[in-house]
Amino acid sequence: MPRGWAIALILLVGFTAAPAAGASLSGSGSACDERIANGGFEEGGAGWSQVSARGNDLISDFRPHFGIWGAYLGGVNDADDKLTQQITLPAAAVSITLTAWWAIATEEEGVGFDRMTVSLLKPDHTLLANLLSVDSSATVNVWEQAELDLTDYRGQTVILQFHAATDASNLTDFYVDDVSLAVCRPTTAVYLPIITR
Amino acid sequence: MKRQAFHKWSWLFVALLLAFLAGAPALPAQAQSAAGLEVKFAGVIQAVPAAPGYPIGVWRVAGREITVNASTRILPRSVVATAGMWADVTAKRGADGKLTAQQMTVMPAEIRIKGPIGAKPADPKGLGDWTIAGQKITVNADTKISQRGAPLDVGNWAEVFATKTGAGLVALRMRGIERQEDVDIFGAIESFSATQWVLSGIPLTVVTSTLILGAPAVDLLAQASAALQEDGSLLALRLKVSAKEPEGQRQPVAFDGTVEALPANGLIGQWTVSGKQVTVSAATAINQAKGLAVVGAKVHVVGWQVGERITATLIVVLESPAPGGQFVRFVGPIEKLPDTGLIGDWRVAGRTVRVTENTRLAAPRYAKIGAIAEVGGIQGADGIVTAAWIKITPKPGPR
Repeated sequence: MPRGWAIALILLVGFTAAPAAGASLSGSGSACDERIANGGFEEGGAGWSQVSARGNDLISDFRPHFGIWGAYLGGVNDADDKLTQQITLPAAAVSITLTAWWAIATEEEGVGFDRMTVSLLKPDHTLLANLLSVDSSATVNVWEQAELDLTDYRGQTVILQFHAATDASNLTDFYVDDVSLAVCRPTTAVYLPIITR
Repeated sequence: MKRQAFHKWSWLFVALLLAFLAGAPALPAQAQSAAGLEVKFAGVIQAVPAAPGYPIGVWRVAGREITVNASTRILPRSVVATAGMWADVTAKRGADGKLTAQQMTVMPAEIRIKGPIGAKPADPKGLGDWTIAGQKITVNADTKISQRGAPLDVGNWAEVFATKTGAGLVALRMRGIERQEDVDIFGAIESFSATQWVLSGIPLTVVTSTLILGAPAVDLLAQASAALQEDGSLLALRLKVSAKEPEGQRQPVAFDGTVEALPANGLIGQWTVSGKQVTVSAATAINQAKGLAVVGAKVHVVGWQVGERITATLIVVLESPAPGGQFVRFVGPIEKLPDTGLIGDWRVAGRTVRVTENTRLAAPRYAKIGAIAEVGGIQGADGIVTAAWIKITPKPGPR
């Protein structure tokens, strides 16, 4: 292999492996797919499984971040609410990013007795990884966006879970909305050197 | 010829790569240069830079000018701030006294009210004027309502997020909550004096025993804990201004520790928490929902410090070695009182309530058979509720 080809290949591999440089390698800039169904909850419970120990509907119009509907976990004492969706993380992905907006309202006073955990479960519902934990010490009434890198879990089918658990006193609401899973694949629009024989 | 063309392209790649690497450390270097004292405050946004420069430029929040530059973190990223919204600001004060923002969290101007429901409209959907924490609050068709936590009935408590309009407070969201010890108001300071503060149109009476944390200024945000008076007015117990200046005399303090000593009688006086002397007054909020405040309890202390002296505005019991059980809150008529004094066993709504020197009694002068009492305390296995607090509603009853 000519020496110039080898240098070019090394440089190209280096660029392709760095996600931050991905934009410069993407021809159209739209090499990512959305893999969450109904992440904005505007279709109600479609795509999601709900389990609420107190029998509450976890999709609600009470406090959406955007649109009319959002997820509303907790809000009662001794809550044990789970909102889940099975997702497939392609092995060929170069990056997989989960984003979700969340906010709380609470009667707790600056202490974290009530908690919501965002996790990945294996298909048999055993824990694969805890991704994020939000508790009742967080600032109330402020929407925050979580951004989580799931690239390490590519090639697996997993269950994304939002789980809220509250204790016996002082209510905490956990609101979730606009959940998105961007799966980015290797782009074909790479600016290769033009070589003519 | 072909080989020469390839070499030209490969050197172009090398040049691009070097340019990329050379540019990478620029951001951290810029962030490091902003050395100075950290200032935190929250207030009403009065001016923001105009497009297309927004958000870069000078903002004005609660009368203070803050420079926002490319390193400033603006949250949420999707929100474009406008005058009238609220902002939580973390900034550095430079040697020239000017503030440079590190982070700006932009919030809607939503007044938060937690209090008892005094009246509600007859409309089955709740449309109309409510009285919550003594304030008139209008519920309209756009108001979101949740009764998941508790039914929104007269006598129960509600949390309301409201906006201030020319016609008064209009509820954006309202939800039923558990009874609390005190009314809670969060809003913007419109005026303040030695006798009254006004938060987003809600007046609060200030007395000498009111604990004030932070220096007030118009358009700063503040939280008030208050007692609802018989005439519907609010008496401020604690006022906390959302502002922290590093050079301020009263430094906000918050820490977790173990209660090593308590006053001889009751909870008001000097506590020792993990070796620190903490002053607790009648206006200090003591949250005993997770356990009773006794020696050995683990507590979260919030207050201010002057020198070595800490004045507590809030103490939350995290764990307690006191007899375990579940925290209960209930309301009902007082059916029995001790023969002498108020320390001893009461019967409220058919339940035995043990009142100790550590029980906080609100309006004890109204304690008589037939009066309505709200009780918060720990219920032991024997069914006896050791009262953390009792609030008595002034309602005539037989003596």
